[in-house]
Amino acid sequence: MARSAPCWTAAAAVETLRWRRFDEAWFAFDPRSGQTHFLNHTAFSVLQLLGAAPRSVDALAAAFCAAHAAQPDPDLPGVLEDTLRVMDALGLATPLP
Amino acid sequence: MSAPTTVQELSPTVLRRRCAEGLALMVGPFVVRLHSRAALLAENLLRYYPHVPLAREQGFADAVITLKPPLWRWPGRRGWTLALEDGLPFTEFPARALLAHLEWTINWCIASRAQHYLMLHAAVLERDGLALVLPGEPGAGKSTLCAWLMLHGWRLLSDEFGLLRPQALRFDSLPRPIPLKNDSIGVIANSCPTARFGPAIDGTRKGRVAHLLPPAVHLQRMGETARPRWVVFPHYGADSAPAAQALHPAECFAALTQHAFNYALLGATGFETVAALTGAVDAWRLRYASLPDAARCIDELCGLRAAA
Repeated sequence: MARSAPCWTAAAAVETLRWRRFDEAWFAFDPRSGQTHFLNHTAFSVLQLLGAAPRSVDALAAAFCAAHAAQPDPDLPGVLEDTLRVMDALGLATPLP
Repeated sequence: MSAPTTVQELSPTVLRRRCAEGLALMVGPFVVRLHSRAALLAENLLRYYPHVPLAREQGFADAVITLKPPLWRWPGRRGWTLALEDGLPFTEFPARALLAHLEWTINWCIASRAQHYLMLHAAVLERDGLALVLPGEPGAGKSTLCAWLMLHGWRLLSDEFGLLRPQALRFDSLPRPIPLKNDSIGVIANSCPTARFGPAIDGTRKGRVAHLLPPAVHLQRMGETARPRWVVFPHYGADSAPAAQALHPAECFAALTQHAFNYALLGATGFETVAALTGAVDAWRLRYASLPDAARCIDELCGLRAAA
């Protein structure tokens, strides 16, 4: 039986982040870890979409395209999956069990 | 007759007596109390710190530093030492290296105790109330460029520690001797004959070091703060034509976090302060080979001179 694709959600820590924006670059300070994260516009948008609702990678790609009025891109899910794994390591996003 | 306000206003006899009791000096916003019965301390103070303001004798001191003479009966203690309040000595040194070791001890105290500031590893200079910040990676030429600018129209706020008040977003003044290394000593000494140095010390971790003394007027203006306006990351290269590259604020923010000694320690305050600093300045990277070229370029960037 094939396993369904996991849903991703924003980590609880995201609610406590402090943000500063410089044009298309975003910096987030995590008071729990003391770390400062740099996010480009794509990563910031992903975090916003996950904050609104948990999504699978495919659903996230569709929501991303809709939010940015972009045409579907077959490479986008792979890019987003890589981004999600980095965000998971940083404690910003997490796959739901 | 008014009370003495600087070291040089004390007679040698009185200075030596005050040192034996504990002489309090204003080192920028800090009070440092120096203590020793040895004539060496008073002699060095008169020679290298004549214009340093005196602090209240009975007030709080941010640091108490004691100079201890060699213990000739102890085979392992042949040099002079400096110690803080706990009495534990730092490394030994010969008498002629007192200035350098005193400066390094004060650095240690500031780095470990002044956590109410965002402390940048940067030189900071001032013109018309506005601060120019020169963050420095080792070998970038920060101190040499800072010395040159100090001797050519800019007021020294600090060479090693850029002390930024988080709430006020203003740099405090910490005008202290600038430690020049190796070839930089001769470059500044030869081009600026009026420059005054402490003794050259060989064999340090960074080679030969000599401290360039700040002008008296910079010490007299120690209480004047400055608003951050420009950040220049200098990079010396022997074959570099002068070239300035504007930095995007995101690059500036990231670089400043790397040049703040206590960014992580300050937590959210550090983040907010670096962000506010980034928002308040224009920033560049500057490659240069000659100090006059670098100074000319900086003056142009800061709008103090029309671009050639």
